[in-house]
Amino acid sequence: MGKKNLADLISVVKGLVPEMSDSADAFARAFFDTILKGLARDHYVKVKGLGTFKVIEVSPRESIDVNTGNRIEISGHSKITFTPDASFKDAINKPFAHLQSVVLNDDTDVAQMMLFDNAQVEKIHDEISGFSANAEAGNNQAYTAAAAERGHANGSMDDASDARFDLDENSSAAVTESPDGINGSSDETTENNYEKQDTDMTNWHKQTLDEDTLQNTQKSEGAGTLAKDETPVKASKSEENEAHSEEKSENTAEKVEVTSEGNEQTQQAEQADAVAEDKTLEKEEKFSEGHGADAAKKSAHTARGKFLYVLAIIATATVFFAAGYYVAYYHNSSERANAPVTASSAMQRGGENVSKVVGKAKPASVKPVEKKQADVRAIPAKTDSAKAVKRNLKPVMPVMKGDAYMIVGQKGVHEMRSGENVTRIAKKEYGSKDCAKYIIRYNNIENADLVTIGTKLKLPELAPVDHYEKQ
Amino acid sequence: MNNKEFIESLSQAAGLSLEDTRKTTNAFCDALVEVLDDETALGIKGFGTFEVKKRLERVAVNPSTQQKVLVPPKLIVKFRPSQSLKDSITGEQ
Repeated sequence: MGKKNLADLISVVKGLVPEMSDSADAFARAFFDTILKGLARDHYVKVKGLGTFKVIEVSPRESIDVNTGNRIEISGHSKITFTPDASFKDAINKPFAHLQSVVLNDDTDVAQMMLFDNAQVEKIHDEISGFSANAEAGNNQAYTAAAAERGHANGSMDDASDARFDLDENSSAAVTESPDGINGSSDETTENNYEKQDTDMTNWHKQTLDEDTLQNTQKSEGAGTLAKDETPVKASKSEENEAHSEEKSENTAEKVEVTSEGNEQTQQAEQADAVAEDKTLEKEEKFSEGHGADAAKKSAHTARGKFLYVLAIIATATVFFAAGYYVAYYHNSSERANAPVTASSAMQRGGENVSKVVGKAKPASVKPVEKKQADVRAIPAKTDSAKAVKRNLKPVMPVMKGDAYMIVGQKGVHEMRSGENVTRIAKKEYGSKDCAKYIIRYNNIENADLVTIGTKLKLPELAPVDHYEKQ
Repeated sequence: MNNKEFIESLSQAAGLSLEDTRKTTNAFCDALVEVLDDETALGIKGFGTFEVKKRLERVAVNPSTQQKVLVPPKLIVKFRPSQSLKDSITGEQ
């Protein structure tokens, strides 16, 4: 950090105002003396084009002696402050003048964002002064686009892709490209980046976005799409891939058991995996042989391929589980949903739930039995229950104002397990979360959030309240 | 002491007309900007030093809208008064 003095300043002044050359020295001295005088007299000096000097009184405050840790009082004193005015500020900030604040989208992960550090700011500074010919608008767009990219792209990077960057020969090129990308890329592409967040700018960005799309598609679809996703990734890499994938298929016939869906490209991915595992040691040799880029891509590609393959397996498994669970749930709930409909149907079911049926409903007609099989899952229609329940049921607990149901008995017991809550049970047993309040009331639960594991909840028998004869 | 008073005082001290002092003051300020840059500070004996500091970019949050904004890096000028200046001020009190 260089330090100039008054003489340097004066020489610059002489350069700007040649006619004042001889009096420049005296002027400079007078300048600062006047400020000093004004400050001493008024405690406030304003110089247009420079800024404001003020004297501020600081009140005494308590503090800690840094060495001993004792309490210390910092006595009141005055300090001199300088606030540059707008024109001076802007003039100083000229190298960064074209940069503007960028609004971040909600999905940017701030923690992951690569904020510029000192070195990078200097680099930008240098490049900007070199590129001062560029249109200011272009520079700002590039900065905003880069900012958006950094926020978005870094949030989606994963370890595998990092590995690839380390190994990939292109990575060093890509990294140095990015500062250029901030300044030098065309306006169209940067606009596209910022608006649509699909990239064409550099290989680095392209690869990152592919990661993103790959992640998303993996989770929603099965392993079958692995091939499809692999293709754009492969396409984005250089032509050397085709050459080395042929290489792979030769080498790995005896090493790999292909367990994938018989898709040619997933085979290649797996073969690549095996090759990578077996040949990691040989990697260095490959480098020296001049297959450096190939090997790097191969092992990095397969590391990522392996990860994606595992992800695909997990995704498929999850889908099957979900489907199975949903079928079972649907089947069960179609039975349970009918519980509040009629007490008679509970009788009909007999021993399905341990019950103490208080209701005096007569054995109903065939209708309720059929209803059991019906597709009723939501809160059932009141008309059916009206026929079966009318004047046959009395509530066991008082009906509160606004209740849609009344508790007419107990239909079972439920033991609380880990991760369950009353609302969820209500939804399962009665088809509606609103019925949780009845469970709570019936069991005299003080705080529904604090029901401990193992608590046996008595499940009330519910009947719609329309048909209750008000007494 | 506002700007007008300052110019008047300066013109008296420098022995120049008001118009001239105004022009020269402007030139002075421009010179100051030129001398100062990210790596160079300007020290005036008996007065203080003007230095330029970098403010790195950061993520700011608009408190009312809770919207995140990326504030770009910028350069800032700071003034550090010298001891003699401080003394002359406190001496006055």
